[in-house]
Amino acid sequence: MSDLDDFKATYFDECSELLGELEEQFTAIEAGERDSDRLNAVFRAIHSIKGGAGAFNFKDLVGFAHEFETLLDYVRNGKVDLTDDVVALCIRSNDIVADFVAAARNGEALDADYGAEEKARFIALSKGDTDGDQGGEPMEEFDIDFTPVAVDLDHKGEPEAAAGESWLLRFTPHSELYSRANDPLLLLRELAELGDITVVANLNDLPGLVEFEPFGVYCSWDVQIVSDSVTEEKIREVFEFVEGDCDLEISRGTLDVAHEDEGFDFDGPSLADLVAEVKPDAVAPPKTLSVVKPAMMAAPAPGEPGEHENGGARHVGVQSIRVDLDKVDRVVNMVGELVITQSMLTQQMDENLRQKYQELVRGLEVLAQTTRGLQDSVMAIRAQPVKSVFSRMPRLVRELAGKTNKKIKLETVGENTEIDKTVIEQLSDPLTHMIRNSADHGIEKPEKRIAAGKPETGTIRLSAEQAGGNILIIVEDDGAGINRERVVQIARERGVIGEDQQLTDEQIDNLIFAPGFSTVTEVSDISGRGVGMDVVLSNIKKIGGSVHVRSWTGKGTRMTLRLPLTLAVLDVMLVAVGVCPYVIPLSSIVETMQTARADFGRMPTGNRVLQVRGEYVQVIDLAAQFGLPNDTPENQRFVVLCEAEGTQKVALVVDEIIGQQQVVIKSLEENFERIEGIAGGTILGDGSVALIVDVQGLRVHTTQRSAA
Amino acid sequence: MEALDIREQDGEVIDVRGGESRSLQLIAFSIGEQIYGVEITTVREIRAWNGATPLPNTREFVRGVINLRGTIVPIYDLRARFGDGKTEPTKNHVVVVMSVGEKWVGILVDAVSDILTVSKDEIHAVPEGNASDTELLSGIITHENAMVGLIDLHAIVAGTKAEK
Amino acid sequence: MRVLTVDDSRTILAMLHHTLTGAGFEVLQAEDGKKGLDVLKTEDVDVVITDINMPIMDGIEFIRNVRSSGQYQSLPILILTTETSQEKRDLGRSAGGTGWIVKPFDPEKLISVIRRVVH
Repeated sequence: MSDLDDFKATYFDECSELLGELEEQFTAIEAGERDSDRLNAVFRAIHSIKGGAGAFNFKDLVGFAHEFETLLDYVRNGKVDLTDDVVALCIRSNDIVADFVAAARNGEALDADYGAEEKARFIALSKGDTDGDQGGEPMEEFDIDFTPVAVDLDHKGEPEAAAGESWLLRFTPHSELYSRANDPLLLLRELAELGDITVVANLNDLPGLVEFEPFGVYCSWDVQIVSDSVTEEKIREVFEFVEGDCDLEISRGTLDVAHEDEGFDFDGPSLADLVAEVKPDAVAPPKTLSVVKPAMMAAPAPGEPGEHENGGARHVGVQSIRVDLDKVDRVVNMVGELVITQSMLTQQMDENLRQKYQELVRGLEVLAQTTRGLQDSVMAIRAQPVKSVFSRMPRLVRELAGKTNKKIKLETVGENTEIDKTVIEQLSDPLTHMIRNSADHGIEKPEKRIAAGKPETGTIRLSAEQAGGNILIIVEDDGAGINRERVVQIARERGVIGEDQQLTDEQIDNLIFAPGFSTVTEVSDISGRGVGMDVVLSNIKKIGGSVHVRSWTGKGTRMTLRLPLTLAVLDVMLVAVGVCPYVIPLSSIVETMQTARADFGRMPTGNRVLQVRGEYVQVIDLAAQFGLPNDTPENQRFVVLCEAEGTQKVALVVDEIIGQQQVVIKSLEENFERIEGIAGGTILGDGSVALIVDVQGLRVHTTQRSAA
Repeated sequence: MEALDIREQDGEVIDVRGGESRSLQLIAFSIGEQIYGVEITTVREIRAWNGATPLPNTREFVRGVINLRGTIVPIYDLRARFGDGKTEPTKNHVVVVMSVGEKWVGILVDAVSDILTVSKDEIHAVPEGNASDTELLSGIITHENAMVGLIDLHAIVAGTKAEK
Repeated sequence: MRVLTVDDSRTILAMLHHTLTGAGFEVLQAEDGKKGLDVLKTEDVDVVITDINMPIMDGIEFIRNVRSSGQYQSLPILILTTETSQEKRDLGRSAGGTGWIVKPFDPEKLISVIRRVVH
């Protein structure tokens, strides 16, 4: 049922947020910040997860969360001491809750005794000082079907067949009943749904006007209910909310009708008479009210403000709204187009036109400014702190530490750095892989660390920062560093590099991202799973980023992810290859030079290499690569030196450099298919299509080809 | 750039929805002397040839991509697809844009010649023989003594990668 | 009829919204007691449904605040909570809560409880 599915989706979204928050809170608690705010926050989060789980009947989750919550309640009330042991239990239990949530989301069942050990400890701890009080409520099961219920609020209920037994009750409200906004009329109305009722109001206690207090309580009611299905329990249920706020006598019997005639007499004029005097049209009410149809009763409760239509402003002060990401994306794309149209218009203005149409120029300048502002604002809507991804990592590190028998602590820095939501979504898998890699291959076993004179506990540092138009995400460990001999050996064995190929340390380090490369001979449970770091690279490339690794033997390894701030608009350099326009992302360009000034060398195979500041770089002639005819004299062509991954460089030879501009990325795959070496297409100012060069893809493509 | 909507072609009134199911409406176009047809309901737009950006590492019959109102659409050279060599296009050549499944593609032809209404009974099977004929055509129709090859669009767009 | 729902759980707010609008009510939402009070400053509502455990301002304090304002002495307030323990309920009632709804709630029960406290 789709409504229920919608709620579930909302629930699981909420759970992800809550679990993220829990992770954060527990990390702080573990670090010693054990103030009541944090304890309350974790209690509330578990409580919310449990509440929703109950609604969907996720029994295992509810069962576990319930005991966990009970313990947390005791902890925050100081009834259970928050020892390191209890903290460890809580953190482990938090992971278990996350597993239960994941299982519920995937419709899987976990082992029946999953979490049983922790649950038993909660109960033992909670019992420790609670003399039998079990804290939370008894577990109840609900099967809830969320069909919208059409309720006719004027519906007064069908009185039951009046042939049954007769019950009599006397109901005397106290003032508390009114102060809690309960209303005798509503209670009587509900009673009427139980059967055929007769109500007599006792106004005997109504004082004279002199003593009358506006908020005083002077009425009581005798009610006769005739029905064959009513029980005392059902009657009491109606008065559930006012228990203790009224006197309620329930007995079998019939209402003494003579009672009706007894009337009441009191000194002085009755309130009713007074009302009649003041309002001549008002009919004075009879001295006793005999009510068979409860609908006729309309006496407002004391203090009832009555009907009062506020015609003024009715809108609530809205602080935030939820919007479909699709809708935002549409705006982002359109703004992207707008930015490009605007820059195209500006480019069209030559000096001649500028002189001639100064107003137009000014208008264009304003347009440019506004467009930029619009773009920034739109991008800000989609920006999210990386915290949402970072917060999943502490658990990963704990699990990895457990599995590898290592001691590892995770430090996170800059988790409030904001990136486009679409980028964030793509970040989780690569980051998981990188941290796994650090824990599995980087950090050493405790004894090894001690022997090396390092602290027993290894550190993985996860940080995010903005650098220009990029976001840098850095995973750094203080482990052993990359074993280069081993890497080279494996790379040779697997044909990733040639037998005689000489590589710099940095190039060796970055081999770990090469397709099909894995430094562990036996596929380990952790980093293995059939995929290697090449997956990291391809995922990051997909979102226009790059990965780079640096390692220091015995000291550690640093992996840097460079990500674009946004995916919508790309700053590019427009070049010509033969007569075809191509664009190269500016973020990957290091420098450009004329071929005449470039220092080429020749490899034994005949392939050219470029020497740049003492470094030899692979050269790819794009015209040859793409099979495009060109007649530009060789020494009039250009070299575009690009950074493929980290500092792995590649020199692209093109025929002309046209200029820089911004473009919107268009998919080739939408109507065609993926082409190696091409990251997509874009539409230029004249309406023609230019292809986007996939710098990294080109490198891999040609490397594989030469290796094959 | 010229873009004509098929429904604006003068003279004939075209019922795009096809009316009864026994008949079929085709857009017929020529490559040299030969006439081919595609079902009219798949056709989205007919435009004059205005160049295309070549795609690297693709086979000869993929002429490149064009910008169709902000979407990138590949263009297939039908002549080259049939193995008759690449078309030397002029401004008089025509691109027929149509949908194949979820994708939009354009095919480059010499000219659009006619709109034909044919009965489904008139569709003949393609005789066994040349594999590329049976592969690329889904049937043959006789129209005014001329043979019209019914194009199998899915086959046309398959196998685009250049062989290494 | 307008209902103000106050809960820090989006799931619960969404479910309440669904059930209540399905029954023809107009639904206003707030994520904690403080925001609930803000809504009441500008909006007329016929009944309030509030959670107890909430950040910033919990349900008990929210109810106390509502009751202390003369304008809302007779505004029915239903406590929405998983706590069936007498302690929580009594706290809510002594703060001025009119009645309670136990989570997870059954839609029909929810509506019947509202009818018990609202005209």
